[in-house]
Amino acid sequence: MTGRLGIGVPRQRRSVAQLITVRLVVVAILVMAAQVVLVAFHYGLDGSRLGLRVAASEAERLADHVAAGADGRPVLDLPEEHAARYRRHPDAYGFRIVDGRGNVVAGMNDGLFTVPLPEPATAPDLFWRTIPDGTGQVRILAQRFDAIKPGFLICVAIAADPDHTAWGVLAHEVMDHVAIPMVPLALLLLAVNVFAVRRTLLPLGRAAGQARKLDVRRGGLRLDAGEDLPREVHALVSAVNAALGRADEVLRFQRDFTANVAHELRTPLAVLLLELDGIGGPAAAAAKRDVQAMSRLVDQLLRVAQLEGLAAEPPARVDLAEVGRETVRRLAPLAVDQGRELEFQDDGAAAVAGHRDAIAGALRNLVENALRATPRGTAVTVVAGPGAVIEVRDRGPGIEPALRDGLFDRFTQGDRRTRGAAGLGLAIVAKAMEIHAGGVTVAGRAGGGSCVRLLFPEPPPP
Amino acid sequence: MRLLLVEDNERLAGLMAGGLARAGFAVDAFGSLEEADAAVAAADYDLILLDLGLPDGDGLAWLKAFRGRSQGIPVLVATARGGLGDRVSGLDTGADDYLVKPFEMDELLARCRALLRRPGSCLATVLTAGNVAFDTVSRRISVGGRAIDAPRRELDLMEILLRRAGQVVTRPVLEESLYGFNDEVTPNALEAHVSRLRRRLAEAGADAAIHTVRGVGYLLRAEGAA
Repeated sequence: MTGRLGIGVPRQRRSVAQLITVRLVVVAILVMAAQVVLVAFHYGLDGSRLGLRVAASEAERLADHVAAGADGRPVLDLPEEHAARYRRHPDAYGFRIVDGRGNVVAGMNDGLFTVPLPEPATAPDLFWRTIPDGTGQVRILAQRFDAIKPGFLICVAIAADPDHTAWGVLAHEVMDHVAIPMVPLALLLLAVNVFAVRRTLLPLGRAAGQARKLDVRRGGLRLDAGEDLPREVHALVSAVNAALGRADEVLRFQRDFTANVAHELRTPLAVLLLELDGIGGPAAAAAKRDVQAMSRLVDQLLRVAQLEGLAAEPPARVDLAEVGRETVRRLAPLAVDQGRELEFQDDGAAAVAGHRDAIAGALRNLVENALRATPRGTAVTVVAGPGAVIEVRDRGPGIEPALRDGLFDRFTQGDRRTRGAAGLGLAIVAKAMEIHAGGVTVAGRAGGGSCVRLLFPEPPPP
Repeated sequence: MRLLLVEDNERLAGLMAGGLARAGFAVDAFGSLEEADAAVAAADYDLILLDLGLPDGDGLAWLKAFRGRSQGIPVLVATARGGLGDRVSGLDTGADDYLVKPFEMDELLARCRALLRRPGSCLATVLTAGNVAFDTVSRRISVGGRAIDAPRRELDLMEILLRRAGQVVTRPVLEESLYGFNDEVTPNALEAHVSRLRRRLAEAGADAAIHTVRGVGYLLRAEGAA
C-alpha cells in the first residue's frame, strides 16, 4: 500500500523553474523586440540621421583601406568587390579622398559632389550636407582622419541606396543598442531565477521525499515543518500533517474497535462452548465445531488489530531459530493429536530486527495450514535459516503455480472473495511480513508438497 | 480441593462451577473483587480462578495486592485479554497460569490439575497419563497397575515427561534435569534413555507414548486423548 498517497511526481510535469524560465525568456524577447522597434522608429522619424550613420560608416571603411604607399604618402588600396559597388552604381555612391595639402589621393563617381567641400586645413571634424536633388537628396559627408595624416579628409556622397547599405548599419545599431546590453542582463536574470527557484523549492522537495517514505499505518508520523520552509510550502506541509493526524485517528479507532469487539465476543463464546459441553449429542458437537471456528476467527481478528498496532512500535532483535523452535514446541501436541509430525531444523538462522509476536503469529498460521494440508503420517518441518529466512515445508497436495503468485497479495489488498474460505490466516502472514518489509514466497517441493518461506531484510551488522 | 472462582459473567461462572464440581472440586463462585477479598479471608483455598475485567476493579491490581499477602495459593487467570503483553504482565503480577477465553472445560480442568500438581502444591503424589502411573514418593512406574522396573535416569525422565504430559519438553530442560553439572553428557545419551524407556512402556502395553519432536524435544501423550 506504499506510495498510494499520490504524492509521487508524475513524469512530464514541468518544474516551476522551467515555467518561470520560459516566461522570462518570452518577456526578454518581447522587450528586445520593443527596443528594435524603438531603434527603427528613432531612425525612421529622421531619415538624415540614418543617412549620416551610413555615410560615416562608409568613410570608416574607406579609411581602413588607406595605407602608406611606396613613397610614404597615403594610398587607397580598395578591394575589388568594394570598388565594384561604386562602379555598378555611379549615380548612387561616390567618394573622394584628399590629403592634408588638398591633393586628391583617390576618388570614384566624383560627379556626385555637387557642393564645394571644405578645405582640408580648415575643415571641421565632420562636415555634413543634405542637398535636394531632382527626385531625392544627395547626402555629402567629409570627415577628418588626423590619425592618418593631419588634415586628411575622406568624403562620401550618397544619392540613393540601391545596395541597402543602410540595413547593415541598422543591424549594427540594433546589435550595439539592444543585443549587447540586453542579452547578458537577460541571461543573468535567468540564472538568478533558476537558482532562486531551486533554492526556494528545496524544502518542498525534502518534504516530498519524507512524504514518499511515510508509512501511514505506522501512525504518529509527520512531515518536518521546519522554520526554513517558505510560507506557501509550510501551508502545504501543515495541511498534509493535519490530514495525517486525521488518518492516525481513523486508524486508531479502527484498531481499537476491532480489538474491543474481539474482546467482547470472547466471554459469550466461552459461555457457548461450556453450554454445548453440557448439552452433549451430535447436534451439540456440530455446533461446538462452529463455535470453535468462530473463536479462531475472533482470535485472528484480534491478531490483525494487534499487528496494526505493532507497526507503530520500535522493532527489537528477534532470533528466528528461537521463534521457530518455540512455535514447534507449542504446536507439536496439536500435530501429534492429528497423527502428523512436526519438526524443527536450524540451518544457521540469523537474528532480524522486528516484532517477535508478529513473526511467531505468522509462523503459527503457516504451520497450522501445513498441518491441515499434509497427509497423516507425514511431517511438517520448520526450517530456520540459512540467514534471515524461516520456512515451513509440508507434504500436502501443493499449491498450483498459477495461484502461488499473489496468493498473499490478495489478502493484503482485502479481496473479500478469498477471505471467507481461508479465514484470516494468510492475511495475518501477509500483514506480519508487510510490517517487517519482508516477503513471502511459495514453492513446490521435490517429492511433493509445498514450501512457504518468510524472507526478512538482511539484519544490520551487530 | 477447594477452588475460588471470581467471574462476573453469571452464566459463565455457573457453567465453570458446574464443570469443576463434576470433576470433584468444591467451588465457591463470586462476581466481584470485594466478595473475593471476603472469601479468601474466610476460607483456605487450594486454587483461585480469576477473571480480570471485574465490575469493581481490575483483577491484575487485586492479584498484585493478594500476592503481597499470600504467596502459596496458585492463581489461574481466565480472561478475554489475549495479547502477548497481557500474558506477560499477568504472569509477572503473580498469576501461575493464563487461560484465554473461550476455553473448553477439558482444558480448564487440565490447567487446574497441572497447577495443583506443581512441586510444593498439595496434590496427590501419583502422576498419570493413560494407564501409565508414576508414584513420586516410591518412585515407581506402573502400567495398567503392574509395576515395571527402570534405572534411575529413566525414572527421572518419566517423572519430568509425566509432570508435563501433553506438552513438549525441550532437550535442554531434560538434560539439565537428568544430569548434574559434573556429568559428562554424550550427544546420544538422552536419545538412548528415551528409546529404552519407550520400549519398556510399549512392552508393558502402555497406552501413553513418548513422541519425538525433532529439533525440539519430547512429548508424552496418552493415546486417544485429544
